[in-house]
Amino acid sequence: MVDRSPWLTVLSHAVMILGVMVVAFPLYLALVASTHTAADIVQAPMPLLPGGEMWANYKAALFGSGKLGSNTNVVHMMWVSFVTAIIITVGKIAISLLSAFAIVYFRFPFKMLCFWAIFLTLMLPVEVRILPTYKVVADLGLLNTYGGLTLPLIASATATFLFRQFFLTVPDELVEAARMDGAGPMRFFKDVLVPLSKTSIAALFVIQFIYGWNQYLWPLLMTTTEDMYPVVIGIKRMVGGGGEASIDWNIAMATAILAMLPPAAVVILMQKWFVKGLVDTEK
Amino acid sequence: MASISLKNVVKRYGHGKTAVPVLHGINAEISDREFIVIVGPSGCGKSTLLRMVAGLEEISGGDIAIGGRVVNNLEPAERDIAMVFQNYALYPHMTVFDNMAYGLKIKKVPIAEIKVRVDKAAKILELGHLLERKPRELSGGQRQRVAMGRAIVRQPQVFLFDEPLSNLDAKLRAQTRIEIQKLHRELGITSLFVTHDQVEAMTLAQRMIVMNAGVMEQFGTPEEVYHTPASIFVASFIGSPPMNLLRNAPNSKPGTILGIRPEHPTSPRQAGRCAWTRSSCWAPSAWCTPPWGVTA
Repeated sequence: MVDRSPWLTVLSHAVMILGVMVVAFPLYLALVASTHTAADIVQAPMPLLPGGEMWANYKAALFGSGKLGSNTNVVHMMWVSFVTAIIITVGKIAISLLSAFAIVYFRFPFKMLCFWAIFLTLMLPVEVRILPTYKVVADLGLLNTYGGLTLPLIASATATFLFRQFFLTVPDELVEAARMDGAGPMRFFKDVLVPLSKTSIAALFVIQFIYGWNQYLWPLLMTTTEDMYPVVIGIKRMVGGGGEASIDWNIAMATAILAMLPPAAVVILMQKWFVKGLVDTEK
Repeated sequence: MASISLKNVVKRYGHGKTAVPVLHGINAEISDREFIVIVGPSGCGKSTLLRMVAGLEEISGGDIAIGGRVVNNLEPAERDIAMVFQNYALYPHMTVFDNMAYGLKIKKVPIAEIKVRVDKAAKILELGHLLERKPRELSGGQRQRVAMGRAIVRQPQVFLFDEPLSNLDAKLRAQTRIEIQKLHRELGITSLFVTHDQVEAMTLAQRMIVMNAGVMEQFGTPEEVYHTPASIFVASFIGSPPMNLLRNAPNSKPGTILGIRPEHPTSPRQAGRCAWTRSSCWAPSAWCTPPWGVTA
């Protein structure tokens, strides 16, 4: 490697700090904006230091009085987002675990066909199949329901594939030992396979929760009543309705900051899990 | 406890014309409480045979009976057997106690009895202080003992060992061999032990099955197998260094092969006096391998 020289250290730190500033500045701006009155923000040089309106703004955002509707508030929208994200995450993990289990451990007719069919859907993201999906969901009468928000997003080739690869690394002797112990397939799945994939599940949980939370296009099409808006759509409505002057930037920014918190919390809480999982590898 | 009987056991992989025969009809009667070692070079089908007894491989032909009951179509768990795997196959996420207790829990044995049985097995195997550990926190030898413990607690009719010692170092291997012997004497459970290591085979076996290319070459006590090998293969496979095979030995019938164990007298004078060359041999047959001829 290169010799350590003080200049190199200074330079690399400078580059790093610059990078962090570039990434963090918009977040900082949002935070600052959420602590001023609406009038203050729209002044020509926008204030760069926090103001004193934080409490009022967040209260307004959380419990309504923003321009969006009368009875919708961020608490409710975050609840919708949270429920949606959790259903998507849990559904995806459950379905992927089971389908990977079937593909790896069972012999059934058209098994390879099933596998490739699942694999092909990897190439078709929600955006590509959004019209037919909308038609199906509308015909089923699922518009503006949690079912409609989550079901089309649950089937997941990525997760199935990930679990399949993991199951393939589980030694065959473990299956055989379980058979000797008299464990049936589902018992083996529940007692051995799922506990062993704990760390993969944790990693997927983080990824899928954020995926579900950040869904934008699908809920935008799907939801037409305010009580079913997830928080991402809520923000969009706040900044997208009417003219520039009518936007409450302080409230919108407070909402944005609030919307960031749950995914951040999930990452921070679950990180411990999967880092631990990566460190002590089983033999 | 139970006897095991193998009647013309055949294993084929694949179907119809493309089927590949792997075991060509194995016959063996193993009596109760016997310790049988199956030995052979890799690829000879010894593990396949064991796995067929275990119920992990389908039986393509013939019958396998354990304790007089034909088990061909029974699930492994219904055969009343326990198996120790080469890589131990311990459940990595369970403690030693749970590993040993898992089979009993599935059988719905009362918790109190599970505890008694696991504690007893742990005591026999000196695992008492390790019960709360996970497999990854154990050494190779300890894991091996846990795998044996898991077999013991089930109180099976038959123990199956699939090369359980090959992942241990030389010293521990010798020590574990003795422990397995002791265990067998104590519990008296019929055992089938697969290995490719002839030292293990000769020291552990009461009787041994020597296999080659899917055929049982010989079934007998280690002494029989060593002193009166039934085929050229057995003669050259058992013993290290292997038996000398002389194609055109003096005074032997043409077309026969003469086998001499290396430890037997080799000077021409003494060799000339041995039973298999002259009828006036003075050597006790115990240390002088009798002649056996095979048309070359």
